[in-house]
Amino acid sequence: MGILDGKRLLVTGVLTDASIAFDVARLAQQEGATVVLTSYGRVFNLTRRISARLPEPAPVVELDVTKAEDLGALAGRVGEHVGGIDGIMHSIAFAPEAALGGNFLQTEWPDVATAIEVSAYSLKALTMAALPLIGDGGASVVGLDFDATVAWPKYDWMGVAKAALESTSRYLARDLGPRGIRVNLVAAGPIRTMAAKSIPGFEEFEGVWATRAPIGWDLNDAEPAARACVALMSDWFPKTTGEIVHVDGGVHAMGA
Amino acid sequence: MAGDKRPARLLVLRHGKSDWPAGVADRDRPLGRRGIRDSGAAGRWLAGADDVPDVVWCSTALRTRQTWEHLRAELPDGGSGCDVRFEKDVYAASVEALLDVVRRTSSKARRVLLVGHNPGVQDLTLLLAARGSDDARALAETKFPTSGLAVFDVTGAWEALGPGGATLTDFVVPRG
Repeated sequence: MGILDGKRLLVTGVLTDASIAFDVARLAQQEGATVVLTSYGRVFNLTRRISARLPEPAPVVELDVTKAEDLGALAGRVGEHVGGIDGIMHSIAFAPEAALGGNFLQTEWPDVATAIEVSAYSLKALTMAALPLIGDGGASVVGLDFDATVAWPKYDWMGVAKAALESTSRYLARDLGPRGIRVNLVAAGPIRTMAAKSIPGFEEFEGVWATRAPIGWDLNDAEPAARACVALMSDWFPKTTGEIVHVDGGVHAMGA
Repeated sequence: MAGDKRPARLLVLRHGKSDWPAGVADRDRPLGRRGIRDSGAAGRWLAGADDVPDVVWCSTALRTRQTWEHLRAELPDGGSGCDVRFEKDVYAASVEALLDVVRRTSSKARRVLLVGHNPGVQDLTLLLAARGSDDARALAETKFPTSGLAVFDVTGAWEALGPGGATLTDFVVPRG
């Protein structure tokens, strides 16, 4: 028996086997779930190749969250593989180079807009696009956060986008709660994924976690964050929504 | 190369076909006869395309070292002008690790050759190849055989190379 037996999950954001979403998909399958992945454009075929390294190779459907036609077609494309959806993993974020790296005061609106559209608004866009597949039993939506209550070195407008993501999840929790849909975030510590490589100064975070996590933190291990995502997708958080679960080794609770 | 106005190039090569004699560890597998011939052919291909590398990142495994040795013998001056780094991080490497290695390339380098292994070289090719030849991409996607060579144009800085950051202009499998 697994904690996701019979559940059907839509998992975005698998790029390589170091992606947090890869571990979510892997653990979800081990816990009994059926998984459908999404990927987009230029990296679609890499995702398809990586999917073959899951315990069960999962189908991959095209989804660029900034394209209305992809969002409109999502339910149909996913519906070719599963009859419905019980969980959605949102693992999508992007900020143009000019929006990261210590250039905060000079970043212009089009770059900020892209960061917020892809990284925060997409939680709403993805959830609404998948809504036709969600039945009376409701669903669990989980997103990946990086603590946005404080300012970080170099993270800049990506941090602002994460603050928007946190707020978006609360409003989604409010408006979709009556349909039995829970919406939560996992605020993970830094993990050396492909996404982290696009953050100049990522090593500055690494130092913080090396010294301040009371239970320690492994930058190369996505599994702790993935386990929390899987747990939130299960029936073991039935009355939790609008929440942010910190999987950061405890750093958020330490003063220094 | 003085006066060379072409974009910088990344050349991603999988080692030649290797043998697996009994009792030999994976890292110590030598090239087979075909692997030796094909590695020379890869050298002739690079020389013919005027793509002699100025920096080489080569896995420390025996079959990749031998690939480089037979390849360089076919380059002008035996590849004596190439800055060759034997790098353990290229052996059994994830795509993240391979990208990290390429990103460490000096900004002066215009032709960079990576001699590595699958699945890493194929993952890296699919990760980088946003644009370029559909035919080359289809070939690299289906199968990245031993001695397969993916040729990329790179317009940005090496240290900023990331997903979709290069143009796949060619995919060849030189045979000797």
